[in-house]
Amino acid sequence: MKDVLLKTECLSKSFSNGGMLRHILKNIDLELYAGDFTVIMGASGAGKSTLLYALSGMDKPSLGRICFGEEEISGYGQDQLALFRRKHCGFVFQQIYLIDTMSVMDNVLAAGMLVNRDRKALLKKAEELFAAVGISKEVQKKFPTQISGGEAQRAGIVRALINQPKILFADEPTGALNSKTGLDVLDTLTKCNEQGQSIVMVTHDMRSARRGNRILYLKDGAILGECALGAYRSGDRERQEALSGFLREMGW
Amino acid sequence: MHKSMLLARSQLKGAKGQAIAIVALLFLASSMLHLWLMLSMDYRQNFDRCHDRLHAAHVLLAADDDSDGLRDFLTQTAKGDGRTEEISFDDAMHKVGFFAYNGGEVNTELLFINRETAVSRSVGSVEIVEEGDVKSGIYLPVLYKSKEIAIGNTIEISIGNTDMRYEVCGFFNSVMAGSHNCGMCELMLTEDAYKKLEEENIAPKAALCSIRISDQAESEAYETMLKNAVSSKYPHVKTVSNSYALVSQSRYISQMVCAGILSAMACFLSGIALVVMASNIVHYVQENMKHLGALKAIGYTGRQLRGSLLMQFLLLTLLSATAGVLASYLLFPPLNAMMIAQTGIPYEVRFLPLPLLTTLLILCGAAWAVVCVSSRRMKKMEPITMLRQGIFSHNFKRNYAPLAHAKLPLSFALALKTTLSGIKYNFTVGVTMLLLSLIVVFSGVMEKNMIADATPFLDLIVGETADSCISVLAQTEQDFLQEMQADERVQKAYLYSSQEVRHDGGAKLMATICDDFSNVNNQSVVFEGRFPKYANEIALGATYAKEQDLAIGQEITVTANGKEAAYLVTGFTQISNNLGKDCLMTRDGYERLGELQAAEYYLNLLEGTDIEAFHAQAKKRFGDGVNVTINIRAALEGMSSVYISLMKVIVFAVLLLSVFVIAFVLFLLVRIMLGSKKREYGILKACGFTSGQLVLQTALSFLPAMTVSTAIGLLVSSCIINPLTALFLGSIGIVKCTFVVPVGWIAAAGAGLLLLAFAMACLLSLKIRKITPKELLVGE
Repeated sequence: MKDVLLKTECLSKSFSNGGMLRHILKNIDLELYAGDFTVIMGASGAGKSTLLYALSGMDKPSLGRICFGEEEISGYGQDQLALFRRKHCGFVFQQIYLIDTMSVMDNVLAAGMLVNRDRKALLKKAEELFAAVGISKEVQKKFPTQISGGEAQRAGIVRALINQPKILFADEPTGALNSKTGLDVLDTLTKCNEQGQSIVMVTHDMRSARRGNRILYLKDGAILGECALGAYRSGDRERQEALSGFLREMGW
Repeated sequence: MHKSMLLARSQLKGAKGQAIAIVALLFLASSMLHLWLMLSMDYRQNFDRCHDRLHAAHVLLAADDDSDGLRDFLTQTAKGDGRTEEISFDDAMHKVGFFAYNGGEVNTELLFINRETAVSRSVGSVEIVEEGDVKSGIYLPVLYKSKEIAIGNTIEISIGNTDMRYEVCGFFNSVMAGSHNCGMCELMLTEDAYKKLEEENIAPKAALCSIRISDQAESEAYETMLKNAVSSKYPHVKTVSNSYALVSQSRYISQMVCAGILSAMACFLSGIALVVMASNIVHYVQENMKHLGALKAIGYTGRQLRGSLLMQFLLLTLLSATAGVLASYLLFPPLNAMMIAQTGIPYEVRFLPLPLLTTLLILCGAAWAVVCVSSRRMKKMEPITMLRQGIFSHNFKRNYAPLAHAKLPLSFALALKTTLSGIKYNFTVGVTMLLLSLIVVFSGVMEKNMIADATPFLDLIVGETADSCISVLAQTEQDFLQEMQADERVQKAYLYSSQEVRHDGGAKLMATICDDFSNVNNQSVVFEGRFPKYANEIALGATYAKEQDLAIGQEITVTANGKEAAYLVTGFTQISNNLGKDCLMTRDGYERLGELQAAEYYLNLLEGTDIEAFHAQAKKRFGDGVNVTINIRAALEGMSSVYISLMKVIVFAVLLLSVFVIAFVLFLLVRIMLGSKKREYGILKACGFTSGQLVLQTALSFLPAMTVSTAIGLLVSSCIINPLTALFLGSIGIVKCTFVVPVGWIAAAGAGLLLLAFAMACLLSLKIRKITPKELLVGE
């Protein structure tokens, strides 16, 4: 029996648009488990990213509850959510979002120093993570605009992992990358998951989705179905076919 | 042109906040500039207009002798001078006297004239400003109109040693004798009151001679000529005189002080507004490099892009300057009321096209120059370079304050990073705080030396102050001195007499005569060299010495009473009473030119002594031996209260203005910073930074530049405030200021300024609360 990390009850999110209320998420009941690589798929406008923002405390739901363990985070204010994010969450974005005016290392340390006051230990941890994702010392000193997209995204993953989050949220992490660098990033995420890191990833890319062990399919703001794939194994055809079948069934 | 206008409109729409802050700063700058120009270009000219309207004299002389012989002599002398245009004589009475005014006393040469005579004089008639139904009494210059001195009230005037009571009938405007700053003050009496004063023989009858000359620039020389002629022919006749040059300057001291302060404020505010404008343009170009590159790529020329900026800022400048000019018309009446309390000449506020045009031209011209210089990057860059450069406005050569090595807490370290990489912000903040520091120091110095305790200011302006002055006749002097030495209430009594002398028989100098200058209270009157010690020594007013190119050690000839003697210049003095035309000499020194008919003694009395009662006792004891008594404390209070009230308002206004300036500059900078760092703040919030941390971080990033520039500003301003004040007061004879710089006050005010600026930066940064990480993700 897996530990429930995040749980939602009747999670709804609506936006007012030109006087009309648009329901993006509709009564979602969901449990996310520790150690899982959960992939959220769906067509454009299905509410994937909205669900990710709500789950990660970046946005507040309109209705319903989100619980992180025993903590109900759906009632939190902005600053409480910020504290929740720094303590428990890591983020990898499609647009990477490193701060241009800080070196790669400073981008990571700025996030790390929020939680860890021990600068030496933090530096050591950062260097370990950089080494694990294959970023050299040279690159660490550079500014984000001076490195490649792949390097920047891997640096983004280091920033997301520096505080050893309980859960890593990734929003289309390969969306802005070319095929080769995208693959490197996916490998990095897979490696993290294999080491026990819980990951929730939004994607509409089949190749990325294959890395997950649990696939959720969202349609019109509701979970249409889910599929358990088991642990990722490179070149596992049976797994690939199971995913393809599931997505076909969902109307992908 | 049309395309540039469209661009300008869209830029304005996109930066409303910045536009508002720049408008506010330009508004303040233009109102100060326009006020200053109105004061400089028109206010003082009001004296000339009034002088012309009342057909006033250029030289006014009252001689205590109403014989036909003297009148004939004066007529002949005047007619013999080619400069004379018109001469007229009137009957008057003349005596030194005083009356209570403004919490103190006015003590001056009083000139009593019959009302009917005064209003019908062919030269120098007066105009009645206000008149009641009172049939018998006195009319005073409009300057003295106050709560206590009002129509129907009774005023007590001490004429010599006699107190007279009059009912106030009205107020009038007299150009050449309508204030205690004119050397003589005209008072009009109704027919019966005039006759009564004449009969009581309190004040000697005098001939009032009013002369108009062809060239007003010659007024001083003419006065000298006339007075020399009278003193040669009638050495024992007491005369008082003034000239257009002296009166036009001395009645406008407050205008000069206000104009000086307003000019400084106008320069500060315009400077800050232009720096802020330049910083805004540089920032705009950097942040919109891609957008501008795209516009260039689709065919807009560099000239069109710069033209849009020029149009935008010229429009803002024109609008805010016009609004500022309108506001200055609202501010002018209260300022006018304050200044009339010193000038005593009514001024009617009216539309003045020249200051308006000058204000608009100066500000629009400066804005044009600033836009051209700040936007020159746009002209040279190729569209592809601009498109590629995009957000690369940061200097990537150096990673400032790397977090791996920073020993500071995270918020401080990140703030330091922003500070070190934000030269534009630092420059704008630095310039603002530097200028505001000067205002703080100025306010501190004025508070300490004028508002809280006016002694240093009075020492500077008046020269010597004591508690009382008693003028005794020569034959009473020894008895008086013995009595004073025996009186326990008298701490110090020393001769401090004033007599008129002339340099080389030409320029009039007011000589202060003392037995021993080491006795005087204000030892800093001589600021260079030393006081005269011997009979052949003299200390000269610095302004006059400079005009005449005289140096210490030089020998000059001084004349008086038809005699002349040579004196060695031992030092330079600064006394503003006679606009710098003063000298100091010992009694022995003066007696080389003539005997002192009356000796004026300055007295320092024990604290708590009733000065008026002391004077009454002296008059009782010495009878006619006492010529005049002056309550110096009361006279100074009366005189200084006008300046102190004016300075209180000025200090309050400049401090208030400083608060507004800080608020607007910070508002603009914070807004620019939030705009350019919105993405960064969104990322940091996503990583778990709270709004509070980011607000603190933003405000802290301004703190180093604020602290350093405030510290430098306070230090430099403290060093230059005295020379700067002396520069402003140079025209009234002040060459060196020795105002105490209140270090504690200034340090506390500086800290207050910093705290205020920091609190404002925090407050203005609260907008960060509205930036949500989701906004960042969706917005990209």
